[in-house]
Amino acid sequence: MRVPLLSLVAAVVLGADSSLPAGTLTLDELLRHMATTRGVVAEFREVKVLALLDSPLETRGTLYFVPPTKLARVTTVPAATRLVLEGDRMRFEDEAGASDIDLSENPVARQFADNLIVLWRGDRAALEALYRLDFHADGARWQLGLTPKAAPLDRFIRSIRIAGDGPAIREMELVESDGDRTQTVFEKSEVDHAFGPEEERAIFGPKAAP
Amino acid sequence: MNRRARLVAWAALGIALFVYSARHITFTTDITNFLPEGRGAELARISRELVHSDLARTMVLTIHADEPARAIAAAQELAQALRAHPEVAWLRTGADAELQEQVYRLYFPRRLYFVSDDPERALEPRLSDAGLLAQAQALRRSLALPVSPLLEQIVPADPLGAFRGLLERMRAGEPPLATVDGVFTTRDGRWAVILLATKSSAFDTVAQRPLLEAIQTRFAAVRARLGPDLVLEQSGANRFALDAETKVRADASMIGTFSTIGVALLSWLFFRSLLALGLAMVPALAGLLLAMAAGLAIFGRLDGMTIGFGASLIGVTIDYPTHYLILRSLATAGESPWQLARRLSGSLSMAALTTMASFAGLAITSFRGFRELGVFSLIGVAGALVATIFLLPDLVPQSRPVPPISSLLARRMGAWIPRLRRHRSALALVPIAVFALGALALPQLVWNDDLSKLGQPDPKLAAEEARVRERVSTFDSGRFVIALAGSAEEAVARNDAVYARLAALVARGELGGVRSLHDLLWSQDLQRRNLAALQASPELAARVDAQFGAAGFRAGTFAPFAQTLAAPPEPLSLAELRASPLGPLAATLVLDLEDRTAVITYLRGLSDPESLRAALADLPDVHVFAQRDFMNEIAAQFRVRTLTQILIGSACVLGILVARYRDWRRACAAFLPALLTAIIVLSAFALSGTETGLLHAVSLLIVMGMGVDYGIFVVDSADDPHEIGAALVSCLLCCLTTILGFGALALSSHPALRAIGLTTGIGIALSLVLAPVTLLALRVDAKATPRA
Repeated sequence: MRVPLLSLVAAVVLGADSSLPAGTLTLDELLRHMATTRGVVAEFREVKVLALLDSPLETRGTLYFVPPTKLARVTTVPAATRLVLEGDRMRFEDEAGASDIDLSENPVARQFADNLIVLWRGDRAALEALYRLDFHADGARWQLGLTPKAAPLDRFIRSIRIAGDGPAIREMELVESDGDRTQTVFEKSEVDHAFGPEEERAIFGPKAAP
Repeated sequence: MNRRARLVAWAALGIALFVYSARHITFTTDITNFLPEGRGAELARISRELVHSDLARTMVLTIHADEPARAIAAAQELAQALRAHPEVAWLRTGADAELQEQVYRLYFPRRLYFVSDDPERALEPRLSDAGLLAQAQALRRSLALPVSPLLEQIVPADPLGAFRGLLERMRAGEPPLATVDGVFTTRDGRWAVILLATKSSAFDTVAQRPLLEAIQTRFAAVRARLGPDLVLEQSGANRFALDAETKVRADASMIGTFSTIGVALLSWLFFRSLLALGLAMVPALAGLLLAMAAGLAIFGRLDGMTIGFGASLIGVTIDYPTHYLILRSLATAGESPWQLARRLSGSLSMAALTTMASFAGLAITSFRGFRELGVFSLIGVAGALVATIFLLPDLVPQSRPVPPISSLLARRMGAWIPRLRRHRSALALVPIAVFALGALALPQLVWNDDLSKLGQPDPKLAAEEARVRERVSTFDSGRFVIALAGSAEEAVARNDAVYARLAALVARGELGGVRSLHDLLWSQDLQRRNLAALQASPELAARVDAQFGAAGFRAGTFAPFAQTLAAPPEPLSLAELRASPLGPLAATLVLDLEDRTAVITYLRGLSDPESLRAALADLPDVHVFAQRDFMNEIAAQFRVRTLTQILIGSACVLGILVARYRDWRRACAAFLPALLTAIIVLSAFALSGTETGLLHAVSLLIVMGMGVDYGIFVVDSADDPHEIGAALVSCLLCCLTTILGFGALALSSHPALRAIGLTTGIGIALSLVLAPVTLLALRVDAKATPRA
């Protein structure tokens, strides 16, 4: 099962419940708590600094996550778009229309997703199969460093750094192999949101015809 | 040469033929041997190729479990267990990472040749400043997506998205599957999917049986370990081929047992000896052995169906030893076996000659299988005749105890002739009545050449096949579009035109999808037109830089694009594609004929075949090919050919009989039983509303061949009041033997075998009855025509 980066972020960063044990947090405790959320709603601000672009690409929007695999990324800035991920399918909608993208035939994209999903599953063994892990915590504040171990992931990603405070992930930074970097800051997150059927349909279902 | 030496010589010949056959024979059954050949039959050849193609050899295995994760685990285990099976050509459970890399290597350098299907019209707006700016803005939005790291690496060299478009077209040709944990699943995730292709043809049941058994066995083991709720459902033409063969085998076994017991009882009844049964089989076995060795020497190989059906045709020669043995048992004292053989050699040779004339047409058809069958049967009949005349006399016992029933029947049946003479006038009306019946009924005869009616696919298998095909939306294995041309480039260009028409049908929802060579290769002309359109666009590289710059891309980013535009590699050719690691992808899409190339397009979800035909109607040398319709057309052609052969064969038979008897009445008396039988059988089918087809026609050929034998035996005995009874007993025994052999096929559950059995059984019984009737009607009996 493949869920791209955002789903990992959603799961790891936003999905933890608020009942983490007191004292210094361990990675196992963090991962264990990831599976307990009923859903996540979080506003985010993402800044991509790419060599291709002469200025950073800033995106603002809201992330919706329903365990185990549904993730929607709805942006308002710079444009209204909606990206829905479910399993191997990615649907992208913007003012130009909607398009479906099958991620299953792209092994690299799948690997991205697999990496993230094992994190969301709290599957430390699988995570360690793909990355070298570097977890530090100081009380409730923690930081997880992920460095790809092998190709093809290491051809695209140099490192991922995720930082959080207690059950919540506050920030993630992905550094690509060519130096491009993406920094995502999560704000106003609701880490245990119970989606109603109508709400879920409205967020994850296909856009109604005009 | 004394008897002992002759028998040793025969034995040595038999052993030599057996050893030769055993060393050269391979048991394979391939229905495609029964498809026509020849330079003019390109479609038939393509059909043959397609039957052997990856598509026809592909199996889809789908596995379901209450929890999808266990279905996936089961698919992984089953795939692992089957991957090393010697019959598995390839097996896929998920996307192939290596393939992606190979696609990149082959196509990315040539991406500028694959920008648009319609470069002259579509590229102008795309390459305008406004068009470039719009593409730049869309690309920038895409960079905000989570998978942008993959995109970033190719954007500088491909700002126009040509490579991405190529990948999308390739994906459209794949089954619409999802992937979970690296394993294909149906879109709803409920079934894990394994795709595999076999090495041998789906119709090569000898090769398919072990694989299908291995799938069942291995899945049972996986199920035992992972849970009883696991369900395996499969799709594959090989399953139907094996099922059909298994059922036919079971029927053949049942009918064979019934026939053998029946024939043994007859032997005992008529000869009071089971040895006679063995002796009666010797000539047919000798003929079969000779036919097998000669067939292998001539054709290099023989199809299983040729051997099976040919053996049945040669089986008609059991009439010869039967006739000999009956007359031997009833002959006058003092006549030695060799004297009898010499006396009967004329009748027996004539019977064999007319049978060979009836079968000869098979040997000159364009169907390889039937050609083999024809030659096999001709040689077999000739061999059986020779063995009857030159081997049997040395095998029969010198003592001739007259079996009571034979003697009694000979007397009784011989006595019928004088009694029936009193009714000559009435009997003369029989042929007239039959001709009248034919004139009335035959116009109503309905020929149905739908070969699918001869098969009887297992309803459970058919339902499972439909479910699996629906689940994975596989391409229709029986309907294709074929573009033919004199050169590979021309064929690829023609296929480009086909693709454009089909894409329009897909867009209108009249077609679910296509798998086309166009996904992998465009004609060099179209490729060059793409590059020409790009190069003709004024200062394209500079404008790309400017417009993409206006959308926020850094200046100079697209230098790799400018470099490729200025110095592109050569376009991709079919030969390069085939020689590349992606060559196997094109293997089922392009076929090399003798001097032409065929490009095949597979279809999915066709709702209206007529709209498809209409869409392609004006494209030269482009054919919508429906395998079933095509096969039915071939069956119809062959049926017509068989009927023509019956007419020509009948004329030949009549000519041979006239030449032999030099008396038209005798010739007609020998020939008419077969002709009248054919008319009555076909009239009965017509009046009963039975639809007739190829197998009825072929069966009729057999019946007529045997019917003439009865006519000859009776006419040749007509001059001797004692022998006519013996001849009728002989014909009765031949008839009963044939009914037990061929007619018993009417008991089969298989429609094809039933058609043969019914036609042969009814026909042969009628031939027996009609032989004395025509004899008397034409006044050929002793009383009417005193012996010279």
